Amino acid sequence: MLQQLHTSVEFQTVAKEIEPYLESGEEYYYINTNTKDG
Amino acid sequence: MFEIKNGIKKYDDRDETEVIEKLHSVTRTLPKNTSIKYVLRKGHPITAVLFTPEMLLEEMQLEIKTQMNIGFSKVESVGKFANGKLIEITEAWYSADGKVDKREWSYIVDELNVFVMSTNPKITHISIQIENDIFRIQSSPVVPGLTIEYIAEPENLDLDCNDLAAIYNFMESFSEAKRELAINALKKNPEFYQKAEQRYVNFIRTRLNDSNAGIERFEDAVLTKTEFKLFLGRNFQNDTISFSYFDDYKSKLVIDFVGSMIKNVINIEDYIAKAKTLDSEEDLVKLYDFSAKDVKKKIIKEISKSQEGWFSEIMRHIINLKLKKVLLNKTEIETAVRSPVMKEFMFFLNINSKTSIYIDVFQSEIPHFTEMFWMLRKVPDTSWGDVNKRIPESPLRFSRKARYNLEDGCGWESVVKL
Repeated sequence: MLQQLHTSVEFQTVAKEIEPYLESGEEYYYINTNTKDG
Repeated sequence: MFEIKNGIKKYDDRDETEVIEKLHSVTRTLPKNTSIKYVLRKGHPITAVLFTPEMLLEEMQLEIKTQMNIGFSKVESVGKFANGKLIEITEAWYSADGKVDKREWSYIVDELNVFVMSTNPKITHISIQIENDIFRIQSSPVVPGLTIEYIAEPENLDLDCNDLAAIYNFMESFSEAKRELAINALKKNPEFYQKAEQRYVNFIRTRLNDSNAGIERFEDAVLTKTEFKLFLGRNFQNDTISFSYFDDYKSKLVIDFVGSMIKNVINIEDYIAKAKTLDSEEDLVKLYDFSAKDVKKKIIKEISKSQEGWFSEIMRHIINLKLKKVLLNKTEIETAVRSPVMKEFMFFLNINSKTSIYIDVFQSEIPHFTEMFWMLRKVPDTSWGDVNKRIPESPLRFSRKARYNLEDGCGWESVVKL
C-alpha cells in the first residue's frame, strides 16, 4: 500500500505543490488519519 | 486528527491550511482508519510511513504527555466502542494542586478509532492512565502484547419489574445490560409491553426505516450519548432549532425524534383531512390551537412517566422550546425531509408560538416542508440564501399568505396560495 501511495499520481502532484511552502534545512512531519469511507 | 509536530512557526495560517488540505487529499486515497505520517524536507521526496498499532500507542502517549505539560500530573481516559467506533469518552485531567478537569472529549479520538479497527473491532472499552511517566493501557477484550485486561466497574442492575418508571429508566439508560433487563421485563408483562410500545415504537420504526419493527429492535434505535447531547446542546436553545452544518444523518435524527414524539399523540393525517375541509383561516387557527394544546398535554403526561432517561429528557427539552427560528446553514437535509414523520415535525414548529416561525435556508439542500407548511397556526416566514426557493402548494380551500425573503436586498415578498 505504501509503495503504491509513493508512486501514485496524487502523491507526486501533492509533493510538487507543497514544495514551495517548505524552507531549506527544515524538516516537517505530519500525522493524518483517514476517518471516512471512500 | 491533524498535527504539525515541527515547523509550525514556518507557516502562516493560509499556507498551513493549503499544505494540510493537500496532504488530506492524499490521505483520503487510503483505506478508512489508516493513519499515516508524512515527512517533508525541501528538495527531498515526501516520505510516508503507515502507523502500526504500536506506533499509535506511542503517538497517543506523546499527545497526552504534551498536553499534560501545562500543569497536569495525571490523566485517566475511558472510551466506549460499538462496532469499532468510539461512541463515548470520558477523561479526568488531574492538576498538581488536586483539581480535576473532567472532559467528554479527547485529543486522541482518531488514534483510538484506528487502534481498535486495526487490532480488534470487537473492543468495547479502552482505558488509558498516564502518571509519573507510566503509561498504562487496558482494553476489553485484551489485545495480546499491547494492552492488559480492562474490567469495567460493576453496575447496579437491580430492577423492580413491577415499576414501569424504573423499567423506562433502564430502557433509556446508556447501559446495554440495563436495556436488556428492561426489555426482558416488558416481554413478561403484556400491559407494560403495550404501554412501552406506545412510547417507543414510532421512534424505533422511523429511525430504523422499518414499519414493522417492535420493541425488540429498541437496541438498534437507541441513541448514543453524543446523539443525546446533540438535542440538549447549542443547536436547540431557547427559541431556535439550528440544523446548521448538520449532515443528513443528524438532520434525520432530529426530524425522526421530534416527528415521532408528535406522532405518538396525534394522527396527523386526520388533522390534515380536517384542515382541508375548513373554509377560513380563523377556523384553521382554532383547529391548530386545540390540537396543539392536546398534543402538548399528552406529551407532558408521557414525560412524567420517567424522569431519568434520555428519551424523557429530550422530550422535555424539545417541548419547552419557545420556538421562533429554524436555521439551515450549509445543511444536508435531502434524505431527512423524506422522513415518514416530516409532517408531524412541521406540526411541532408552531406548538409554542402564536406568531410565524422564521425558517432561514442558506446554502443548504432544499427542504420540502410538506403541505403542513400551510396548516400551522401561522404560515412560516422563509428566507432563501444561495438556494432556490421552494414553497409547497397549499391544499386548503381558502387563501393564505406566505412571506419570503430572497436575501437579494429586495426585502420581504409574499406569495398567496389558494
